[in-house]
Amino acid sequence: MLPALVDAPDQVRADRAAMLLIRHFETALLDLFARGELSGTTHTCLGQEHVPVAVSGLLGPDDHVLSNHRGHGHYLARFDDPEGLLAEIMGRAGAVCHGVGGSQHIHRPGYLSTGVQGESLPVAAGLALHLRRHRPGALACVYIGDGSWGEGAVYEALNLAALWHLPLLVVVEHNGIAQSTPTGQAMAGTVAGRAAAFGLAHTRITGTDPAAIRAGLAPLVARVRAGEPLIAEFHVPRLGPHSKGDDTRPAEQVAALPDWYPALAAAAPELDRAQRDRVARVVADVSARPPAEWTDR
Amino acid sequence: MRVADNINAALHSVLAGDERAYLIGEDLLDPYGGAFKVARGLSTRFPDRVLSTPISESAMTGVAAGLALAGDTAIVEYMFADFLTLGFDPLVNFAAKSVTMYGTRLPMRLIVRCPSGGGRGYGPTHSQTLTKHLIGVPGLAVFEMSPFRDAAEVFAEMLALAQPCVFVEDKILYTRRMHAVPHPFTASVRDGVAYVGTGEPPDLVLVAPGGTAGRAVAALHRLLIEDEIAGLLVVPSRLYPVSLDLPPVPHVVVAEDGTAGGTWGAEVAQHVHARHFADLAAPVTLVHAAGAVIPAAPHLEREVLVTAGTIYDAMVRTVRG
Amino acid sequence: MAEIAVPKLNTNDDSYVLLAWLAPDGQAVPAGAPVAEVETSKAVEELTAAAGGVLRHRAAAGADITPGQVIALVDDLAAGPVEAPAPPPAGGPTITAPALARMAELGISAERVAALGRPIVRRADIDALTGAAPAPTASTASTVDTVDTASIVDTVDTVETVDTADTVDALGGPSAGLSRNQRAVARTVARSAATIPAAYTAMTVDVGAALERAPRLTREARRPVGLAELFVAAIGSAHATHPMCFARLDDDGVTLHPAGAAHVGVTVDLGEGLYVPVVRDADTATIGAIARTLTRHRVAAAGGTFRQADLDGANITLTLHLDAHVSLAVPIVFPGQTCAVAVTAPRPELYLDGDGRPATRTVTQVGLAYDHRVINGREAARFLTALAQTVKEP
Ligand SMILES: Cc1ncc(C[n+]2csc(CCOP(=O)(O)OP(=O)(O)O)c2C)c(N)n1
Repeated sequence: MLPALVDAPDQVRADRAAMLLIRHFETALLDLFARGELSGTTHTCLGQEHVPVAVSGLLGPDDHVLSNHRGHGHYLARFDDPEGLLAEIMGRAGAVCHGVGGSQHIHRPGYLSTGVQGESLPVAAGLALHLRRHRPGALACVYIGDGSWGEGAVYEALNLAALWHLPLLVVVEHNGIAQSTPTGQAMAGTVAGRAAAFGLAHTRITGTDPAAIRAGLAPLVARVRAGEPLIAEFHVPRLGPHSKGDDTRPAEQVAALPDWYPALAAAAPELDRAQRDRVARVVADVSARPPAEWTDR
Repeated sequence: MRVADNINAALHSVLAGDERAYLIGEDLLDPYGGAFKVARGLSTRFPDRVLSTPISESAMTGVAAGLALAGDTAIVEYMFADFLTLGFDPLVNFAAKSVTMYGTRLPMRLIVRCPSGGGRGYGPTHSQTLTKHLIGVPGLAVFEMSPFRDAAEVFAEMLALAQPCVFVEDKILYTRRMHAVPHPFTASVRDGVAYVGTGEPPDLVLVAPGGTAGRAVAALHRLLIEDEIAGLLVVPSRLYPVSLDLPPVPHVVVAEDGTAGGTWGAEVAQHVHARHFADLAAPVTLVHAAGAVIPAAPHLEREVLVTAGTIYDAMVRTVRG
Repeated sequence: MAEIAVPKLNTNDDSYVLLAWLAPDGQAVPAGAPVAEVETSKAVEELTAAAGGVLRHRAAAGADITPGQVIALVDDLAAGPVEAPAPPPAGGPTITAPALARMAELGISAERVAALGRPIVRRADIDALTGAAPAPTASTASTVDTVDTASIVDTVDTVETVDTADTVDALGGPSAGLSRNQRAVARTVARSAATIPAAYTAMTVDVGAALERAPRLTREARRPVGLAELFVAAIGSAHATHPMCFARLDDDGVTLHPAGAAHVGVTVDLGEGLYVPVVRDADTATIGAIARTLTRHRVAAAGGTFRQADLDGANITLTLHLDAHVSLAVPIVFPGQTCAVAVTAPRPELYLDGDGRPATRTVTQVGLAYDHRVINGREAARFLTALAQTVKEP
C-alpha cells in the first residue's frame, strides 16, 4: 500500500519524501562500498524504510529513540540529516559522532544506536524509567530485529518493563532473517507469544503506508505514554544483503519479496528524482570533505 | 594457504577425528559458514555436530560448557570477540571454575574461538582484543592463532589441557598466508613458541601474539634494513599462563593489540623481568593500543591501534635509549 | 618513468598476494598490457601498465603486497633506466639502506655485493669490501639543511645524536636510516641539486586582505580555502603572463618546452611522509575547484592512498611552510620544472603607513627558486610581484 493522498497532503508528501530519501541513501551506500570508497561495514534497511517513517511521526521531542545496527532509516526519519550521517559513515568533517562511532554507534540528544544485539533493551527500560519521572508522557522507543530476540537481556528488560509499567515502545522489525539465519531456525514460538507471556500489549503491522500505520498505532502509543508498554511487530522484507555482498538467499527468493518502491516512484516521479538528486549531492559534498577530527576523547 | 583456511582445516580434522566434538556458534551453516567463513564446509560434513545458534552468546557458551562437562569436546565460535562479555559468566564463573572448584579436577575440553582486533573499520564494539580480561582466571588458558603454527597442532594442545581455553583469532590475519616471512628472516617453532629471526644473535627480542605478527615482522624487517639492528620475534601460541625462555638480550619489547592498562604485555614484562633480569640493559618496553575506544573511521582507527610503525618506533627508542 | 602501484582492490584485505608476473623483468610492454596477477582473499585480478616501456619488477612473484605499494617501474624506452643503484635481484642478499647508500657513494655494483655470498649485507660489509674507512653519514646535512623545513632538519639532528651516542658501536651500525618515503625525497632533491643551477629570490607579501577573504571563500566553496588555495590560484593566473616559469628545459640544456596549462604541484606532509600531488589546470580552475582538489589530496595523504595520476605532471611546485615561526624556506626546483614557490607562515609586521604612523599588517615571505638557465632575477621578481598582486586583489 502506498502513502495515499487523503486529507493531509503535506504529511503524505513528507512521508513519501522520507521513504525515498532513505531508499536512495542506502542504495548510494552500497554503491560507495562497491566502488571501494567506504570501508568497515554497513547494514542497509532496504525494504524497511516505512517503519521508522511511520513511527517517527508518532514521537515527540522528549521521546528517546534507541536504534541498532540497521539504523540509518531510524536516524534519517528522526533528523533528516543525511549529510551528518554520511559524514559519520565516511569519517569526514561534519560527522555526527566525529567518525568515532561509525555506521552503528550514533548519538544525538534523544537518540542512540549501538551494534551489540539486545544490549539496548535494558537501557531503553532505564531511559523509560527516567522519562516517566522527569518527563511524564514521554516514552522510550527501541528498535530491535527478530534475531535479537535470541538475547537473554531482552527478556530481563521486558519483565521489568511490564512489572514497573514503563513507557516503553518496542518496535520489532521482523524481516524473517538474521544475518543468514531464517527466523524459523532461531525463534521457537512467536513474538506475540513472548509478549503474551509477560502480559504485554502486542500488535502486528504488515502495511507500508505510514499514515495508515500511524492511525492504527496512535491509540496504542498513547497508552504506552501512560505506562502500558507495547510491542509493535512490523513484518517487513529485507531486500538487501545483511551488510554487503553477503546474501546467501537465492536471488529468485529475494526478487520475489514485496517492495513499495516501484509503485511510489511511478506515482511520484519528481519527488523520487528530487530525493535521488539530493542524495547524489550529499555524496558529492561529503566525499570532498576533509577527514573528521576527534579531539574530545 | 591462508590463515582462515588453516583454521578451517583444523576444525575439519578435530570434528573428523573425534566423534564427541561439536562446533557451536552463530550463522555457521553452509553456504554462509560463519561471518568470517572459517566454518565453511563443516555443517555440510558434520550436520549433527555443527550447531548454528540464535543470537545467544550466553546460552551457546553455557551449552558448550554442559557438553564439556559431560565429556564431549565443545568448540564455540563467537562472531566477534567483543561479545565475549555476554558469555563471561558461563565461561569464567562456570566453565573455568568447575575445573577445580568441586575439589577434584573435572576435565573440560572447551575451546572458545573469538575473532579479535581492529583495522577493518568496524567500530568500537566490533574491533576489540579482550585478552587482558581473560588472564589470571584460574582454570582458563588463553591461546592465539599465529601464521607460524598449524592451528591443528594448537587445537590438540588446548584439548590436551582439558580445561577451557580461549583462542584469539585476529580478523586481519585470516586473509594472510601461513608461514610467510620476508627474506632474510626464517621462522622456526620450539615448544609451542615460534621464533622469527635472521639466524644471527639478536640485539633485541620482540614478543608478540600471532595477531600482531605481520606488523611485527614488517617492523623487524625495517629495523634491519634501515637501522641494521637484528631482532628476534617470539610468538607464543599460549599467551596465558606465560612461560617464555628468551635468549640473552639487552632489550625486550612486547607488542599487542589490547588497549593501555592492565595489559597482557605487563604480564609478560613481569615474567621476563623475573627470569631474565640479569641480561637486560633496560626494562621491557610495552607497545599496545591507546587507552581509547577503537574508532570506526580508518584514519582515526590508525591513530589508536598498533601499527608496524608504532612497533618500529618503540624498538628504535628502546635500543637507542 | 612510470610506477605500477597496487590499487585498493577491496575493503576487506589490507594485503594481497602477487601471484605471478605476466611479463618478465626487463621486457618491453605496451601501454595497457596486463603485467601481473594479484590475488585478494576473494578474487584474482590483473594489473596493467598505464604507460608503455621496459618493465622493471620491484617485487617477487609470491610476495605479499599492499595497496599503494610500487611493484614495478616502467622505464621510458627513450630515456633509459634512471634509478641507481638497482636493488638486489630477487633471491639475492638483503642489503640494508646504509649499505645501499655506501654502494652508491663508492660506485659498487649489486653483482659485486651479491658475490659476497652473505644473506644480509650491512654498511660495514661494503666498507670491508673496499677497505674504505667508514665515512661520516651526515655529509648531506648541509645540502638538506637549506633545502626544506623543520622535518628534514629533525632528521639531521637525529643523525647527529646517534653518531655521538655510546650505544652505536655496540650495535655495529653507525647510521640512522631514512624511511622509504624520505629516500624517494632524497633521490629527487639530490638529482635537483646535481642538475639544476638554482637561484633564489624572495619577497615580502601582504596577505592581510587574502586572509580576510578566505573565510567567505571557504563558505562559498564549502571546502577550506587558505593560503595554499589562494597561492595555487595566483600561480595559475600568472601562467599567461609568465610562461617561462612553467617551461621544461631538456637535458640537453637548450631545448625549452613551454607548458600549455599550469599544473601546480603542492607539498602535503601530514606526518605520513612528504607528497607533492598536483592541481591540474590551475590557470582556468575556480578557487572552489582548487579547494576541492586540495581537500581530496589531503585526504589521500592522510590515508596514503594517492593514485599515481594525482602525483604526476606538475610543471611548477608550491611548497608550503606554514608552521608557526618559519620565516624563510628555500625550496628545491623539481627536475623537469623551472620554478618552485615557497610560502612561509604569515606573521604580523610593523610598518609606517601613508602618514608615517606605525601600523601593523600581516605578511608572509614568498620565495622563488628558479632554474637560472631558463629565467633570470628580473623575471623572477616580476613573477613574484604578479603573485603578490593577485593574492592581494584577485
Ligand atoms: C551480541 C551480538 N551478537 C552478534 C552480533 C552480530 N550481528 C549483527 S546483526 C546480526 C543479526 C541481527 O538480526 P536481527 O536482529 O534479526 O536484525 P536484522 O539484521 O535482520 O535487521 C548479528 C548476528 C551482534 N551485533 N551482537
